[in-house]
Amino acid sequence: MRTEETKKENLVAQAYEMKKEGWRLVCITGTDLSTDSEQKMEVLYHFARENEVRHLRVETDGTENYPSILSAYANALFLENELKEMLGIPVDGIKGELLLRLEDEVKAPLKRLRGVSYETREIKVEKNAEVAPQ
Amino acid sequence: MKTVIPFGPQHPVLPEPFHVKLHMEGETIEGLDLQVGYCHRGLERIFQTDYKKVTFLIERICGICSFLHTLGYVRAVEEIMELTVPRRALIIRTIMAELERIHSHLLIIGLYGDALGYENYFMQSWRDRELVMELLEYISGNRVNYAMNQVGGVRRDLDEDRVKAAHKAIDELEKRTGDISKVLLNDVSIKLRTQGIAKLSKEDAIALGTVGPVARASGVAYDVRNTGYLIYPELNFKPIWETAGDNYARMQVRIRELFESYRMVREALKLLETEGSGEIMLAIKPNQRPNGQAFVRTEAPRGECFHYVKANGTPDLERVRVRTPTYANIYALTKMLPGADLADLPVAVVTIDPCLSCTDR
Repeated sequence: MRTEETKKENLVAQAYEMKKEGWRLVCITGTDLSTDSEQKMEVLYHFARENEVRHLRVETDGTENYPSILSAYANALFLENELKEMLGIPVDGIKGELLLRLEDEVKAPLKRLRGVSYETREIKVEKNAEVAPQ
Repeated sequence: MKTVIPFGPQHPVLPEPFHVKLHMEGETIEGLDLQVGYCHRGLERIFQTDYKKVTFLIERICGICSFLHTLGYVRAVEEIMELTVPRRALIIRTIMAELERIHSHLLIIGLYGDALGYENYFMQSWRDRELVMELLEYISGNRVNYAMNQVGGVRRDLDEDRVKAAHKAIDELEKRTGDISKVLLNDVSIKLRTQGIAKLSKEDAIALGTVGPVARASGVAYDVRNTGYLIYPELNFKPIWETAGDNYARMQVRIRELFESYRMVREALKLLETEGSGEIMLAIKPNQRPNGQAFVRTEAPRGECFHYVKANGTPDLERVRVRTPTYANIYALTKMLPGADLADLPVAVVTIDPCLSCTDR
């Protein structure tokens, strides 16, 4: 699967261009790639046009404001809500209230927690580390 | 007079919960707010585990299109691992995928009858559905979660007896579907209550990213089976589509799809008979692990289902993303329903064939 790197500053303009070219937004996938030393998330935008597919890849640290492509693609509403709700990425103008119904539920359950080693799943609790939802 | 009426999360017409807040002007729906998430189980978080175990977990997303979820997932992993699945396994996967579509369509056709107040119609349709459910049980040993797919192939073969049983069931189903379709497509009361109601234009269907029978009923002739996965190109698959975009057209597409599925199952069964026995599963070494990412689209009974898998060479997967057809279709209710009467709401909701367990994961 080949992905095309893009910057978040160019994302909205690129989304409009793709819509003009007839591309359909299929899905948005957010993945937390953070390590103990670095916070990094990737957001993939999957587009399809008949049998062709394209994947845009945007990297973000998940803390700064993140652009919404809702004005170009109306079906991004649920997908961007999920991005905010599941990974905690602050998407502009999106509330992030889609799937988690209860107030005391785990916040951003797909966000990798600092202090948790992915390979071993051993919890190395640091001072002020968040509690892992295991 | 303006009022707000809640519909759901629990309602007789909804097999699964979701909530619609209806903004009414008298009996007419002016607008609505949707709320999902009542079936959320955090499955995408649980999928970050051993890739072999995920095949069985992912089947639990949905009780109706369980096979399609495993199909999408194993296709993605097979793409990452660059596996060439045996041809007989591909034929069996096609047969199972179409049998699942048949039982799903018969289920929603029954619920549609029930929503319209045709209880006999509901019972007839579900009685017919039992034929395909029994066939699925005979093939796989299970009625709901079949555990047929595995990375590299399928776990059970179809022997001569099962192929014969499948031919017999398909012949009987085709005859019975012919009978129920006469009522569904020609009954005056049904036509009055469904034609021209809850319309979705082609432009809106495209703009809202709808998929499956919902999009095809609005004139979007898009079906993932046309992209050439499994053995669909050999079966000369042709997408079924209509242009009216109303309740009637959405069910008409499903009825016509049933006949197309019967034809394809029959042809796939003939391929099994003519080509004789063969391998159904590739041997995968215990230390062979996926490393990379893949994106796969599969046509589920309700439309395009999307699976994305990212693996990093460790036993545990890094990310599995699932976007189900109802997730793409449910938002279209906000365009379909304004202008319709409150009494039209249950039927309109049924015609998008909502699956909330899929949507919420």
